[in-house]
Parts: sequence; C-alpha cells; structure tokens
Amino acid sequence: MIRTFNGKTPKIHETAFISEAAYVVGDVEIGENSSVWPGTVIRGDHAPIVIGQNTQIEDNCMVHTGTPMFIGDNVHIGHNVVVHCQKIGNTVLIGNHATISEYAEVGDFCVVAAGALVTPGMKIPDRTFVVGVPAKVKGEVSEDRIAITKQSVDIYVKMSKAYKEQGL
Amino acid sequence: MIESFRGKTPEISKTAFISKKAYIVGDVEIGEGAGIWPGTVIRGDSAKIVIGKNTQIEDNCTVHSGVPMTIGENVLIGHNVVVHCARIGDNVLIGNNATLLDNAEIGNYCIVGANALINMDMKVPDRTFAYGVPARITGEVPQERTDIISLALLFNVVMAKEYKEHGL
Repeated sequence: MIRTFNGKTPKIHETAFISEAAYVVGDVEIGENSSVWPGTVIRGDHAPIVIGQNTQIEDNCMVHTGTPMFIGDNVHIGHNVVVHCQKIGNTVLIGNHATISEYAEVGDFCVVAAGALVTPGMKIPDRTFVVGVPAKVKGEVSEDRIAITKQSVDIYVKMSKAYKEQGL
Repeated sequence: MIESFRGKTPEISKTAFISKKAYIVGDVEIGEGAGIWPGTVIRGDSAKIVIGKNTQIEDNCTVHSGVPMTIGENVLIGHNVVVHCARIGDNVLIGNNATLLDNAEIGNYCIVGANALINMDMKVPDRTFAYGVPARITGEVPQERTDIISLALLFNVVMAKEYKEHGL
C-alpha cells in the first residue's frame, strides 16, 4: 500500500518491487530495482527517506526516522530489522533482527550482524563488521564477505522481478 | 493473504486459522489446528516450509529459509520471531523476539528464551533450554515446564478456532 501524507507521495522507480503487503507513506524515494517485502513499513512522515538502487528491505522491517535518512545502493536488509538511523552506505548487509538507532551512520561495505543493536549516534567506518548488544566492532569485512553481500543482492534483484511479474 | 509463487500454492488444512493480516506465499504446508497470527509472513519462495499440526506462530513473525524447513507439531512461537532455520522439533516454545538463523536445528521439547539469538548451524538437543545473545545451552527443560507449554499451546489452539469462527 502506497500512501500520501501531508502532500508528500512516495516516488518509486517503475522497476522497483513494493509488495502488496508492505506499507510506504509520505516523503520516500525508492530507486531502480530495489524491493520492499511483505509486512515492511516505511514511514516518511517526520523526515525524508531516500533508498538507492538494487537495495532490498526484507519482511516485517520498520524504516522510520526523525532526521533525513539515506540508504545507499546494493544494500541487503534482513527480516524484522528496525532502521531508525541517518545513513547506511553502499554494499552493506544488515542481519536479521538488527536495530539501527537514531543518528547512527553505517559506512560502505559494512556488515551488521543478526540481532545487533547499533546504539544512537554510533558511526561505523567503511568495511567494518559489528556484532552484539550493544554492537561492538569485531573487525574488517573481507573481500569474500563483500562478495556474499553482492550475491545476496543479485539473488534478490532477480527474485523481486519474479514477484513483480506475478503481481504480488 | 495467501498467494501462489512460481506455480506453488500454499497447502493449508481446512482447520488451520490464517489471520487476514498474515501473508503466506509459495511452497508452504500448514497442518490441522495450526494458527498463523496477524502480521506474520511465511515465504516459501527459495525452499519449502512445512508446519505441523496445532503449531501456533504469533504476530509479526517472519518465516523464510534458503533450505527446506520443517516446524513440528505443538510448537508455540511467540511474537516478532525470525525463523530462518532448518528444523524445529515437536512441543517446543520459542520466546518472543527470538532469532533462529540459517541451518540451525531445535530438538523436541526445547525452550528458546525470549530475545535469544540462535546462531547459524547451532544444534539445540532435545529437552534443552537455550538463552542469550548469542544463545548458549543453559540446562534441561523439566517436565513441569513442558506441561505449562502444552497448556499455553492449548489456549492458543482454542483461541485460533474462535478467531476462525469469527472470520478474522
């Protein structure tokens, strides 16, 4: 469901897949080949939310913020993630059930582990792997790991096309 | 909402309750007396998902897997759980907000604590209690606990029937 709020209507690229069971409202931009899966809510009511190309936001996520939010290209966000931060860079993997809090910024090529809690204002440098509650830096993201993120993105870009073709 | 994907349509027992606000797609089987509650997404697109009889999956859960998944009978899964594992046995309780990652296996008569993170490939033996982030085995499940779970499950099975009768 795509809704207008206070005169702002989501701008969604014609190639993006928005599930019939997702809810997108207000000042939201979604780029080419990106996808939003069932149960996910993207609420651009307090501040704009911009989502790049080839980015997936899987099922039952919540994307909302009090300050403008930018999510980059080739980002794979798992199930039941709460995205409440300012920035996620390019080619990033956010694990299932992670929470990214207010004012946090996640750099390019990062991995946020499943269940991790990224605390308010935390800045995660490029190519960093963070884990735990609260999240701590565990090390650098290897080339192999980045390849896995890219692979997940590719699989999802293809699958989202199949969902879109079937009118789901 | 129940949808087909790539020619596969969910096979749902006539006696199962599927909330109008749940979303079930693709290669999914759901047994008799089971209950799927509002906001829960079950996505059988990458691999088959089989859910046994009387099993209850409460609100806003996401059930998805890259490998075939079997969830047994008489399983009670709490609210907002991410089920991304290969197997859950029979007579199991999964606490609210838990996360079960890829290829993990939960035995029979187990309890996974609320908010626990079951890591990738973890095997939780029959009758054990797993708790924490990441989860550790912290002891055996006594018969009294199993009896309480059976009661809680029964309560949900009865309520699911009422919801179904009310057309919810």
